[in-house]
Amino acid sequence: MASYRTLRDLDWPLLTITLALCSLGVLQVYSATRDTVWRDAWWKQIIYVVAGFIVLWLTTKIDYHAVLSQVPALYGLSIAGLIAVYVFGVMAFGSRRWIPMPGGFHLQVSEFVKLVIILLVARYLTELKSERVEARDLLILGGLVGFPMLLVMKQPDLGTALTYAPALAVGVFLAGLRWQYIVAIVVLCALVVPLAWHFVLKDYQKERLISFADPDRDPRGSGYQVIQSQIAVGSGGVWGKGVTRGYQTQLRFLPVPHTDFIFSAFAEEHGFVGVVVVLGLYFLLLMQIVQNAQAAPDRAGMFICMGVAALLLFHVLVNAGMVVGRMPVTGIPLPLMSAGGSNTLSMFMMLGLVNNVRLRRFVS
Amino acid sequence: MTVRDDLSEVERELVRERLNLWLVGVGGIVALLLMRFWILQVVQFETWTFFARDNQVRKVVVPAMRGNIFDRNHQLLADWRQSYNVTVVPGDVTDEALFRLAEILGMVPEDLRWRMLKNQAWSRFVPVLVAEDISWEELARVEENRLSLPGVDTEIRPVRKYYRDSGLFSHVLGYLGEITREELDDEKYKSRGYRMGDWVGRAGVERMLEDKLRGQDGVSFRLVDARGRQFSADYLGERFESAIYHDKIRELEEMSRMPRPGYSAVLTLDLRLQAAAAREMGDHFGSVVAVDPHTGEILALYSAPVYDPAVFIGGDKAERRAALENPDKPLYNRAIQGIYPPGSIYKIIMAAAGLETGTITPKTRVSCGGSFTFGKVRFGCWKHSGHGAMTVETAIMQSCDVFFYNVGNRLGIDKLAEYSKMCGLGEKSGIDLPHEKEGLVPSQEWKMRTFRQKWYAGETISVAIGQGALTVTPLQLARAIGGIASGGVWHRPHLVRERRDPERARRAELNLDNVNKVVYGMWGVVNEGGGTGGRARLVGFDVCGKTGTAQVASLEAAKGRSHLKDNAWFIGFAPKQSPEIVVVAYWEGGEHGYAAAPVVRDVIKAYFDKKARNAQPPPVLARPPVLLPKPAADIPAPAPPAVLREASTPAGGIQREP
Repeated sequence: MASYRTLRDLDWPLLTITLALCSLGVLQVYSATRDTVWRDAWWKQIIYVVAGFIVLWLTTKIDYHAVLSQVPALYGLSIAGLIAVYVFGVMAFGSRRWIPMPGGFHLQVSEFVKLVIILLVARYLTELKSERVEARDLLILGGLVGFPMLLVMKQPDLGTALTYAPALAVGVFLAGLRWQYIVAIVVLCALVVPLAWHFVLKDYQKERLISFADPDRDPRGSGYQVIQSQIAVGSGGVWGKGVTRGYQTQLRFLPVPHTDFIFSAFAEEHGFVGVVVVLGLYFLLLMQIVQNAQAAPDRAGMFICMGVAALLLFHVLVNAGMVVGRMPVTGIPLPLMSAGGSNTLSMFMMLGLVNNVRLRRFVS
Repeated sequence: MTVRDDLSEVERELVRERLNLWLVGVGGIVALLLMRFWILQVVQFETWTFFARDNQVRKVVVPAMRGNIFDRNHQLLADWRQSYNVTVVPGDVTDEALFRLAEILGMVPEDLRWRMLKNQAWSRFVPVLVAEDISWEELARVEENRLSLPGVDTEIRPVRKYYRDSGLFSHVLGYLGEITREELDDEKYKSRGYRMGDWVGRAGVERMLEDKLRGQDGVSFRLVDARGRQFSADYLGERFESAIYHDKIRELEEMSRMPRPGYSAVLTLDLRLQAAAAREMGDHFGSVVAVDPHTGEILALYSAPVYDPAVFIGGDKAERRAALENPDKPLYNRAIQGIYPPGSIYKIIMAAAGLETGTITPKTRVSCGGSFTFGKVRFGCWKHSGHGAMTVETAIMQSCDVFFYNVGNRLGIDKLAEYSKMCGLGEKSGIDLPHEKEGLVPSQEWKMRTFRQKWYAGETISVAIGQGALTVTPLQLARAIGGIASGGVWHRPHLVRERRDPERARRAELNLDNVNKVVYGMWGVVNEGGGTGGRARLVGFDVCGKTGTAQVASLEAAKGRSHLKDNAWFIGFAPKQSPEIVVVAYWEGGEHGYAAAPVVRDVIKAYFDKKARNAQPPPVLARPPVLLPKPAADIPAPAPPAVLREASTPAGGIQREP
């Protein structure tokens, strides 16, 4: 059985790109936090990345088919974990997302639920009776994904909750969802948004959305982050100001320059050239994942890979969009670059799943 | 678990198609993001760089010193002193430091903390002013304890200082006031760069020369972080090894601009004459004006009671209010704002008008029997027994009312008005002080316009001796009589040195014989046995003069204030020919004109004493005109902040003092 699980068969281009992105991330975390209370973040991030590669390796060990068979259990565990956040979770920045762990770490359950969602979607779509996704499947799957989404939204953490949607969307899209349904969903969303505005969103979330639409309205308040981020990016110019020389970052005009706004800090210090490199690396990474999806031995493998791709794309789009003032501030980190243990590890697990699929492509 | 590995051809096709669509979507998204970054970082680079600088740089205003004010002999009347203030950075200061600071400043620690919190800006790292104008000793103790006072800093600001703080010059110099919110909204102030906390001249020379005295504030730029914390050398040393911050600070230094001090003003006033006037006035209310009729230069301008202009700068609210609400109206400049009937001094203008029009001649005699009857009304002379036969000369000398009743009656009100206006009555003299009053010269047209009534010839009779509706300011009177005595040239009175501008003088071709007659009369007033102004006599000098009494009692009695006494006027000039100085004194409650005569005498004496001392003409005429820019060299700049030390090229092309 072990014959197809050699190191040589791992997706080395993918791992190289990942390492490159992580290195740029660590460098930027270091540069952005060296005089702040977060000055330890860069070496912690190194530990997370190393741990990430180990986790990735471990993830490839168990056949993804075996993992898929445990989806109901994993799903139940996720729901239980999310409920546990309510019970044991600690408040930070006005929301309850983290469960304190021994050793001073904090576990963000919702990050790992992303994985379960990807697996759930893959499993469900693999077991379809019909050739295409029907309305009934859509409802069931929507309900299954929607429940944890709702739990996370209640933390409240709208950003992470929304990251559950892309895997579902891409999954049903590839599973042959009819165009009529797609149009219907878009229309439905257009109808739901105003309702959600009134009944679901918290005031601070509305604030963020308003300030996203019109940052100048309250430059010292919610719009502040959006404006400061754009100033940082714009003043970076073509070549950037150099490592540790971005005044917006160094003089702390930029909020959380090592997590959510790491891309502004990067864009300020490395300029447009740096941005092209990073976005290029993400594009290559996506291509690599899609290639693995195409080469997957079965539908399940393909759905897993595409779920990961969808999630990665969503993160990059929303985070980079936020940094340049084209997306609301939702607290979504830039995958592989933003400092943080939970999001780094869950991302590596997903890449592990991709490799898992890859390693089994010649079987069957 | 059933895993469907057997993809049908249809399914494969569908997946391939959708995957391609998805890839197109990914490409589109990445392209859109790149486009956005391109716009921000390449197209709009300059804009965002501007914002970035705006963010990180705090502009600090370095206040300019207000120009000094000197008297004509370059005696200092007003300059500035340094006011030491204490600032605290709430984010850096410790409880211990606050306690210690309070101890040094003699404050209650809680008060100090409250003051700090009350004035706190948007960030805890922006310095807050907690104590103003501390003593030198307190400053020294703060500096001594610098190391145990983290977050505490001192700053120096220039503050106006007035000399002769008895208030001797208060009405001339005026005072300063802090600019108000309304004024800041006004385009007039905004366009000239006024800011909150600036001082503005509110009265006197301070107000009239505001633009010249003010100078131009300098600016320096400080590098601050997002919380407004300023970068100082130690802050840098501890945190940044990188030289780029030093480069940045050097760049900011180059953008900084030193303040340009205001121009100094040299006034025409003479400290000694002013002091003589004040000494003679003593505790009495009133005013004294001394003018050089050749030029219009004002040698003394004193109004009593005085106030202390420093109250408006350093004083507390209660003191300020006391000055504003005092029933004696100390802020009121009686020399240019007080309007009074000229009383008998008006007889000089009457005499000149009578002689010039030919209504009377030097030979004309009028017999004074103690009264003059017009229609059914009897107008008495102040000397009830009558003066007997009077010529114009003796009538001036003895201030005979009946003589001038006759002159006035023959001239008619409109001729009186014409000659009064010729002498500058009824209009502003144009002195370079604010709030001057015009007084009133009645005429037929004036009465019709104001009361819709005809002028009665009988009214002319009272005007003829300077009573009735006629009112003047002391300054107007000095100018009018000085102009007649110097043969018909009325210069614009002024306080600030200027080029002599003969064009602006009012001239009339007066017959010198007539002028001499009037002057002889006035000489007699002081120097002849029967004159009313003998107290103004000055041995060795030909002082000419005229007494006057402004009858306020008769006007005010109706209001139940009969305790008020008549006010005394005296005007004098010297020498007889081509007078160099005209002095008018108005003494509230002096009752008789002769009471004010010694004031005039002493001011004239002070003038000639000084002239005797410096045999050569006063430096006035030899000196370049008006406002001399104060040489920058002798201005100790108020401790230029460290970042300015090396400033070399000013930004914005504004010329800076070397």
